[in-house]
Amino acid sequence: MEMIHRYERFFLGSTLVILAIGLVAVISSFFVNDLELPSPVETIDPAELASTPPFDNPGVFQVGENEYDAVITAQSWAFVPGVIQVPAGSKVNFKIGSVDVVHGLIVHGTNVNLTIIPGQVAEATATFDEPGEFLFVCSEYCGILHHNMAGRVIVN
Amino acid sequence: MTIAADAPQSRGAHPVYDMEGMDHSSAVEMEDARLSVFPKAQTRPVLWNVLLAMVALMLGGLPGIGQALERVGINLYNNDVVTAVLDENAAYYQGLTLHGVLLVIVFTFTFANGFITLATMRAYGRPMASTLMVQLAFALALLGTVLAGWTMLANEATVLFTFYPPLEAHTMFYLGAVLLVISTWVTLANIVMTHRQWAAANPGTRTPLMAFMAIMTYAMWAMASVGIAAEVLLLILPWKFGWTEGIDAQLARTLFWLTGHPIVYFWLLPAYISWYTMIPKQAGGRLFSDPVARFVFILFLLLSTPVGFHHQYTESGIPQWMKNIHGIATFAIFFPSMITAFSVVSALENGGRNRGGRGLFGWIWKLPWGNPALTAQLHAMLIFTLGGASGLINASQTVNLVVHNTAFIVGHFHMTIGAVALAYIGIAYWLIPYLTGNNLWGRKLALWQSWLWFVGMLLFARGQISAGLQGVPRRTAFADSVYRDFIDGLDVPNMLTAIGGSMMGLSGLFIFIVVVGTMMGLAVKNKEQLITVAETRVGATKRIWPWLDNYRMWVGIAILLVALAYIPFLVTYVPDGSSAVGAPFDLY
Ligand code: HEM
Ligand SMILES: [Cu+2]
Ligand SMILES: [Cu+2]
Repeated sequence: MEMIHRYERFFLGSTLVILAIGLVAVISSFFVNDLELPSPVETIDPAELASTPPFDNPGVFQVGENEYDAVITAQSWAFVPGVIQVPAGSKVNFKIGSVDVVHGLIVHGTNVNLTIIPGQVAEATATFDEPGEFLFVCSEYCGILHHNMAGRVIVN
Repeated sequence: MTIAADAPQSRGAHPVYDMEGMDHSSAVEMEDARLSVFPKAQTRPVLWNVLLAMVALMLGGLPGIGQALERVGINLYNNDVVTAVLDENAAYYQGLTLHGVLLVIVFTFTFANGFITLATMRAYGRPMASTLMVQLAFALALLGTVLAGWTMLANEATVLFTFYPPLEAHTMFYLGAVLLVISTWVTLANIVMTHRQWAAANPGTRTPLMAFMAIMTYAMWAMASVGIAAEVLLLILPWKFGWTEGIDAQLARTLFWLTGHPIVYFWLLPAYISWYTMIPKQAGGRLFSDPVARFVFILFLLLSTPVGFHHQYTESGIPQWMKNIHGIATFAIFFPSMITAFSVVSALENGGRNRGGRGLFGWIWKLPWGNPALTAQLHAMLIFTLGGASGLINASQTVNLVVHNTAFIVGHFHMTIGAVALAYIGIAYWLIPYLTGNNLWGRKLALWQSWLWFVGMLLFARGQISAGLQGVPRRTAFADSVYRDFIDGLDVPNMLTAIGGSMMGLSGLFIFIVVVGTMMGLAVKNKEQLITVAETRVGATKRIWPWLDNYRMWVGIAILLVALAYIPFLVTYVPDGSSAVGAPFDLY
């Protein structure tokens, strides 16, 4: 008696092919779209974050011709600074750390999606080509006013 | 022993077996009846488990309605009745914590403990080895529920069901969670003891399929739950008691997700056990292959756990190459579910054709759609197909950056766990009658319940998926947020969420009515209730793939895979990358 029917073999074979294609597509998307997942940057004791450079002086700093560092501290329930202004065409490196609990950062219109774990500095980069306003929100529950934790990137 | 696995095997390839199926069906039914009688001292705690699960489903479902209606500006949280129960300021998140804990910890664990205990007895045709442990498992789960429930209602544990430190909950909340986990370990120990007794009495006989699946499910879960146990016992409680200076939030999350992914298979596999071993017969057909079904459960044991980093793609404490390994393993775990899709649908087709269905799709309409137990599980399969497919989207590392922690995820998992819940309800539609001796009351209402859940869930999920793609974060009291008017394109998604959510809420009310009516014995009792077990076309005699039943080997390989997946992180992170947070935070 046949252990695996030929229909089933065909079905499972197709499944494997589809999964393989999906996997290849995902892996290529890293290269094609020049993407990276968040990776270790450095660790800072959250109690010391506010007195450790660069987080002792959060803000937006020009670091190259069209490139800016946005140094942000996340705390319940605000991002500091809450407004980030850059000219159109800028590449922005978000550097962010939490002083208390876990927060998140999703910047609309970009692929920036970070979990900000106290102790771990998080980094992600996005390029803003078009002028406009882009919302960013805290994406991890951080207490009862979590829904008020947000800010804007203003691109002129 | 007559069990599914040993049933007659050689059958013609096509409808010939209709006749044969009919011929010996009365003999099989008598056997079913003989094997469906167990000591009351053991079936009673099974019933209590199922009823506790139903209570958790009802109470946990209520905040869901508030969460869905909130999207269209209908705020139930400042209602007097609600504020009498929930804290005025924390209500949304307190409700969400109750929603998560009651539905995916209490409802699922107690239902699995009850149902799988009974399935084990039925598979071996003997009572559980220890009556005391059947009772103990229930008592632990009840106590855990009371402790966790009390702290959540007192607004002492508004930390959501993931309780990520350094957010802090009441000690009793963690203890409650631990007791609920221990109730599953007690159940596993009892299953293993029962297996040993049976094996001693039946030397040389192969483990019945349903029992094999029960063992694999609980073995997988016991191994996986070590993560959450370590998180609570080694990190959180010592930190709460002030024995340690601080807690490492990244490490705690990693331990949490070591358990957090396989837990979804612990929810799912009891439904799969029903779909493989019970549904075929309820639909009038047979399962195609017993050995393939065993193989599927082995794959779940091996692959469910070394994948936890796929919940942590956006966390910066874990290097990308480690995430990639878990990402690839996540694609692999899709495979056993695809085998399941084939096996279950082919058994259903077999049933539909036996009942006179013709043509490519004609068999579908011939399935017993008038039987609520079956209809609910058919609906669950359909929803789950979409849930699984959306899971592959989340698993894709780069696409995950678009959907992670948005409402998209809420859409995804209501189609997975929401489907599993519907399957459990379908099972309850024969299980409660079996356990009480009362017939199911309100069959029409139960059918409506299933259809409402099915349509409501799909509308709700579509709404959440669209909202997520517009950038709406999950776990957020959206209507109160400062940005609710700054995100475009939400009118239709929010409407779908609210309409679908209300339909599910109504469906929940119907469950309540049907279960209460059945418990009160409102239906006329007219026949003995049985636990049906499907026959298989390719049975598992001793000769076919005997290596499948080598438990020690599979558990050993499973532990090895988990070690390979997690040791690189543990040995590099703990000495170098860790960073402890001192104070616990109470932010609710
Ligand atoms: C009346 C039916 C239901 C409705 C209307 C509903 C609605 C919702 C909504 C709107 C959310 C998202 C809340 C947010 O992210 O802010 C949510 C979360 C959730 N739901 Fe449901 N739900 C229902 C039933 C269920 C069922 C049956 C289960 C599982 C058995 C379930 C499990 C969950 C879980 C685990 C979460 C995530 C909680 C968290 O993020 O901490 N829901 N539900
Ligand atoms: Cu937040
Ligand atoms: Cu997962």
